[in-house]
Amino acid sequence: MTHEEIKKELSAYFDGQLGPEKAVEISAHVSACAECRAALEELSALSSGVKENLSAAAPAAMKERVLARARAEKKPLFRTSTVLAAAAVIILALMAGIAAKRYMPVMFAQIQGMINAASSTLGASGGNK
Amino acid sequence: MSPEELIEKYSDMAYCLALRLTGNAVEAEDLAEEALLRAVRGLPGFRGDCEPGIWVYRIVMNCWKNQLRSPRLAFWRRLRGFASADGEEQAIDPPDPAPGPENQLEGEARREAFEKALSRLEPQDRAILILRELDGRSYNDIAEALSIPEGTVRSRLSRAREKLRGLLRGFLEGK
Repeated sequence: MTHEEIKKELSAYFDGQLGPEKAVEISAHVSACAECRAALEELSALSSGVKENLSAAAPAAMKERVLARARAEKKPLFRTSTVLAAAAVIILALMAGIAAKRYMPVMFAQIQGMINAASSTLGASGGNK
Repeated sequence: MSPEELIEKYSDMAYCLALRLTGNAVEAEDLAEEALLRAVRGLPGFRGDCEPGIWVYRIVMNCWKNQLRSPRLAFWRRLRGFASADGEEQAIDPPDPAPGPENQLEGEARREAFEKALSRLEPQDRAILILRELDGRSYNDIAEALSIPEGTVRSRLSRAREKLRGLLRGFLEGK
């Protein structure tokens, strides 16, 4: 590689991101080239300067807000499992009603009669108030 | 990984990346918060096909690109752009050396100079530099996080450093 080509690769060389062959070639050049050594020193100073002057910690309040928002989203009014269980109970009750009407008409009629009697009693007592 | 672990491990770098992309603490906080919340929401579906940090930084970058499309923010950014358009390529001079308690002022001036110099880079170059210098990411990791080829990371980082060296020469010589 020429001096100009090596100058373009100094940044990757500084980061240790070159293959071993290129790295050895650049090492040999740098030990003999004052300009490239000075450039590497500047890269090192720049790297320290960036670390020293441009790092920043996230505000603690922001971290807490993210967690609070995430937790709030996790707590719906009804859990999915509760909704599914309630739906299953309703479906089973409906199916039991349909089966009773079809296969046990006498018992179904008795139950219906009891429900009607109870509702009329409730209706009558409500009317007396 | 639990949401708490994710926040603990990556919120500083997500915020730092957001801060250097936006150049503004308020916008950065909004951006990092949105990105981290998205990451927490997406955690159950994260397949682990890359390192979690890279995945989080990718979300920050995507949220930032979405923010750029926001008309309200675009207006303020244009306004800031007009105000800071002068002296784009001029080197930033260090303050006169000051002894004693004024060292603190010198430190602040130094920090300000680095921030000013960084703001003169393209946003993507800033992200590359920050991920490399502050998180020690490999070129391959940065390429994955920014969804660009590794060769582009290498050339853009080299160019960004060259520009910063030019702008901050006065500060680097004293090191």
